[in-house]
Amino acid sequence: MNCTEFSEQVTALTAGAMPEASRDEYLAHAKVCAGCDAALRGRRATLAMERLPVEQPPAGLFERIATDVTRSRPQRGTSRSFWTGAAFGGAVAASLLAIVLMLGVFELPADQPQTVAAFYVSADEPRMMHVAIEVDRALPGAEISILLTGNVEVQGFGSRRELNWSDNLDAGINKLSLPLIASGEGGGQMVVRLSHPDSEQLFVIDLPLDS
Amino acid sequence: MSEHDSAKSRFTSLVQEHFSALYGAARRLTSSPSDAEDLVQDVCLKAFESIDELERIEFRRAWLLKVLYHKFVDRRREISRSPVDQADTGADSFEPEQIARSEIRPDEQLDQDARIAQITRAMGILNKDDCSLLALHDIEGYSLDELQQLTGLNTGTIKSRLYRTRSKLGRLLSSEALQQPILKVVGGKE
Repeated sequence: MNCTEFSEQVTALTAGAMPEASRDEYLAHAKVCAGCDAALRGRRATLAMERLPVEQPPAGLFERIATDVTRSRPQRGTSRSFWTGAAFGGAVAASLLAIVLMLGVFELPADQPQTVAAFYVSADEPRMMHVAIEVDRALPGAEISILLTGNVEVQGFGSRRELNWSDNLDAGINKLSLPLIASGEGGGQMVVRLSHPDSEQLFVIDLPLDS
Repeated sequence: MSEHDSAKSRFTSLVQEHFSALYGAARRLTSSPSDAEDLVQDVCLKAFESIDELERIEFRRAWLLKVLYHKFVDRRREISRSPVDQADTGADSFEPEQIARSEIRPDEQLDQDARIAQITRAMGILNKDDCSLLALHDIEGYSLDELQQLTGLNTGTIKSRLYRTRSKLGRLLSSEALQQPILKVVGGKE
């Protein structure tokens, strides 16, 4: 049994179309092979999707869409509110590492960035970096910027190197979750800039590639 | 016949016979009929913009489904930027009559819905081409030979990519973030 054979038969395995003896042999291989074990889970997932009931489109939907798209810009049925504040949510594989930025409310000058931590990124999957920002009083309307260097991206933002938003920071700990993924060799760095009418502070987080 | 009527007629002749398959695929991937309609509308817009190419394509349905899975990944990435993950809340997906029709108990239905939501979230993280290749083969039932003709890749490459993508999907489904509900972001005091 090798991975190629397993790959060839994974559909038969998940569909129950395999003799019991062979099935046991394949499952035994998956127990000792992480790649094939993951492939088996992946195939079970696609099988679950395949087996979902197929719904028919509502009457008149094709006619309406055909009219829209061939006439002009289509009118969307719904509109989505994309990222409007400091929000990153959703579908990301996680590697949990909390980096706590202990702030005495920006008492350091902005031209002296601090390297606070390192977070290992992967090219295989996005990893969630949790940054805890602690401030000793509420900071309404704080400006937050993320600047990326090197071969690291915020998942879902492609090659964008800078992201900015404003938000109200509460006194105490505020959490920022960033899904990061390596886009090439060498990793990179992230500069977090926090600014408020009173002051500004920079923090640098090293983002080495997890080899 | 007006210019619009002519364009619509041409579009209809190419797309209408595949529309049910497109909608069915979209509905599997989305938590609500309105999201599915948005998704197929995106596909139809792309089809209309590429109508000359579409006319020349032999495997028209596969081409349309491939576009659909690409658009699905795009949309999942957009949703992942939103403060509210609608797939998690299910706020617009509750349909009592659908549950009543189902033979599955409501608690089992919820488990299945959660499982499907996890799978679609994980699929949305995949590379677009990998996602569409895997979906066309594993979900839509296209053979390796058909995929070879559609993509121009040899079957060895297709098999290898299917294996890698299934493995990645399996790893994503095991990862912690996909087991959790909406991630909390800036502003919350802990």
